[in-house]
Amino acid sequence: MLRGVLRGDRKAFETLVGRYQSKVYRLAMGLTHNAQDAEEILQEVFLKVYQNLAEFEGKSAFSSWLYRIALNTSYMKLRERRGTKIVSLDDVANQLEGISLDQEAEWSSRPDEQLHTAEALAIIEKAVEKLPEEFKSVLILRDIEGFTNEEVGEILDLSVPAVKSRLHRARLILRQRLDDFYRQVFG
Amino acid sequence: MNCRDVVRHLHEYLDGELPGAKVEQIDAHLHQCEHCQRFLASYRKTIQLFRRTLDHDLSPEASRHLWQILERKLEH
Ligand SMILES: [Zn+2]
Repeated sequence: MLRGVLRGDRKAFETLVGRYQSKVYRLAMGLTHNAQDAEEILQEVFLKVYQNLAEFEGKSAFSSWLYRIALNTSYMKLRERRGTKIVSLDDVANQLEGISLDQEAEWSSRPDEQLHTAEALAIIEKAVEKLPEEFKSVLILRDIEGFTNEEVGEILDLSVPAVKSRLHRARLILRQRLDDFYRQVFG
Repeated sequence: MNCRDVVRHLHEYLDGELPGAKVEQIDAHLHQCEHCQRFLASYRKTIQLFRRTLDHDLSPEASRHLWQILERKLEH
């Protein structure tokens, strides 16, 4: 397929776009939280892929190369969008400080929990928005797209311990936000 | 192994990345600690819920639209 695209085979390119469009879209949505931005990112990413495919050397997996392009394009979009609050790693430290290990609400075993799933999803979406991009991208690549720690490290240029630590911290922050929510709901 | 240790290693525990001895220690702790059982369940649930926030594929219309735009740009 890649060779076909390199030869200028339009059909091969269409196949490639079809195969990866939803993955790129999810990543872009997860980072920008904006459907229009995500669609613009999609267009830019696949144009870049088409124009730069000759530079892909096959040292890494094609999907890793594609994700790097998708991440950079998403970061650029975030930067050009005015008014976007960039969340710093210090903010994460602050968010983590609020996490208690002792007295969490019993939200995972509530029988009526189902009723609150829609609200929980809204809470988690808001919490994800507040995470720094470096944490969101790790979460998406690991928990949504199912890459291994090593693959995520390669895509993001991070060590495996750094990937694991960001993943765990990001999940703990989201868990805590949900815990706050369930405690409010159930008292 | 105390509760804090369990929480610290939860991601590696779930991903099967810990040596057998460590897994046994965590299992033993979980067996007798309701707090950590709940924490583990809520940690798992968080991952599930997060997946659901981004489980949509690109719609067929958006997909067609994308291809139209790409084809047009490739002409130039
Ligand atoms: Zn415990």
